[in-house]
Amino acid sequence: MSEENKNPVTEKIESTKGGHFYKEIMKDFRIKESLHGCLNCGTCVANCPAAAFYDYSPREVCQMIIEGDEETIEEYMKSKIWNCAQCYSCKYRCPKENSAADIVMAMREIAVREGLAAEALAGYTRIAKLVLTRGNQLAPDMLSPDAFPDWGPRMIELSSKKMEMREELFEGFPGMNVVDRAWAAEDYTIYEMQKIWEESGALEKVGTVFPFLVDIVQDDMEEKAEEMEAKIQEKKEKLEASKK
Amino acid sequence: MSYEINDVKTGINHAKGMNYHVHDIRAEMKKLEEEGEIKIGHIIGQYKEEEVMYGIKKKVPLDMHYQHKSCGQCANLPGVPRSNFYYRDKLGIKYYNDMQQTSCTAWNYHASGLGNLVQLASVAARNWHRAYEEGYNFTIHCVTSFGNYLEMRHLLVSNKELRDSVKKVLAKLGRELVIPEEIVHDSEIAYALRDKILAAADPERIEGIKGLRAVEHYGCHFFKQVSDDIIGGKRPIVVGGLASHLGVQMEEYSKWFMCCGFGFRHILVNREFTRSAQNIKLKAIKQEVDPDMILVNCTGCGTTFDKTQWIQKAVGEDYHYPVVFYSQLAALALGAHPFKEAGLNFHVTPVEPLLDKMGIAYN
Repeated sequence: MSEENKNPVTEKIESTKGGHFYKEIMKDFRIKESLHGCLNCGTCVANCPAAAFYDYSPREVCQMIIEGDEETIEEYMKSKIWNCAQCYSCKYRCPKENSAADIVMAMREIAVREGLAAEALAGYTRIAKLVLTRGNQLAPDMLSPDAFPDWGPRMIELSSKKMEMREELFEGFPGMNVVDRAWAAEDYTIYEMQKIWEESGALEKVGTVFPFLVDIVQDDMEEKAEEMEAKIQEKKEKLEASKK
Repeated sequence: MSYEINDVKTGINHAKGMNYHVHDIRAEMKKLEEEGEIKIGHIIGQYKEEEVMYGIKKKVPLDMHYQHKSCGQCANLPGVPRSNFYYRDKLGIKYYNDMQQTSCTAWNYHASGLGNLVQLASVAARNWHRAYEEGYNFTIHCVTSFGNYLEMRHLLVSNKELRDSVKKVLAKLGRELVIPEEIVHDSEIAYALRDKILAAADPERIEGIKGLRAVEHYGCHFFKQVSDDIIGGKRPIVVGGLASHLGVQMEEYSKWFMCCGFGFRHILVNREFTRSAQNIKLKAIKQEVDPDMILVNCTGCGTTFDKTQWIQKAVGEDYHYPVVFYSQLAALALGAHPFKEAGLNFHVTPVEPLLDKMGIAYN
């Protein structure tokens, strides 16, 4: 954090409060940008869709960090943070430019890291697997009528005809007519994505919720490593040459 | 209750909160470029300047478009990317549909907390670098990606620690940090091209579009996550601006600001929330406007509006509003086949009554 970005509100809080989760949250540099004091005016709550239906309040999120209230923080870490819709309506409307959505995001990261997210992420396996093995997040195959019965009868019809419909739509657009992923990202591209997750420490974090996925990704990477690393070496040499 | 797009623009342009500091990301990027800290992927070819918050000009590239795709659109609403390609083909715009790109992974991140900022920013920077090395302007189909890339640009410019970590990861891939001069969503491009789209449009199609009544909904990540780089000022104007230019009568409704209920994780595992939020939005739309269609620019919102109308029968409501993306409307205006080229047959809420009203054959 540069000198000019110091935030007197969060600095004061940091120096006076305690608690494990609180300290972990304050390590995230986004918190300094997300809290500038809170008027308790409730504008954020009035605009929050999650507050309309759940026991969740963006005002409480800001207040609990300002107060360093470990008991409420723990309550949020264990379940309430997963109610936030991440719509940033709170940030957009707050007269103090606070962002409860960003604080919640920092807390979700910590919840995963600390092994508190297993229940919240049950049912999320297929997305995580797709991200790590295909390079994108959604596939036509995942949108089965069984999984989305509330999307109505037309989903059943669409699902049964999707192959021929996509073939017609994407004629002349290679790589677009696939159903096990959103588009046919190349193997080299997927390897680069996996390497980013590994090098950034994100893959290790995935292991706290989905340990088997780490094995799948590492096996996949190992299988391709020789060929892919040779390509990366070529790229590195090309980049170095361009700098000279 | 129609509104003029320009009134929205001038009325809200400089109205941000009480202690907001003007943040000129372009000036900060220029400084970092001069110091050798970052490279900037400058706009290639022609561009059009459009005004964002504080009167700052955003350069919208008009040619050489790297198509950063949306995984949600490609999987679920494939007519949208197809329409994005279609309008470019019709206007003679060169674009690149790259298979060496990945998803931005922001949907995953916001839904699950899996991943971290170094990962998210490195994925962004790798995709940006692909456009740079191929010699194209980076343009974005998805609103989640758009909000994420605006945020990643901001974080990479303002935080040296993150910047250094990302540079290290990129170096291991033989890549470097090149931040695009502008982060541009496809709906901003279509808006900037509105005169060209209208000039090239099929007059019969324009006749069918004229007088249709519509409401618009913008993805939250389009304008709430990073709100000072949005064409028109604090409230977006690009979807309604393009549509009204083509002859659609845009209507106002009281719940325009409210989130659609997508919620990233909610659409997967807590859909009772999604359905309840939709109930509020749709009720206001029906009572206050009862339009011919709902116009959108966001993958998640388009999905939510389209897929969550049928189930409202469970609470005694009967909704039937076709959900149309800005680019599908543009493609229709330019003469696209509604199914084979605009992919409207992939939508769950029937579009046929709208097409009948527009006089467009679809069989």
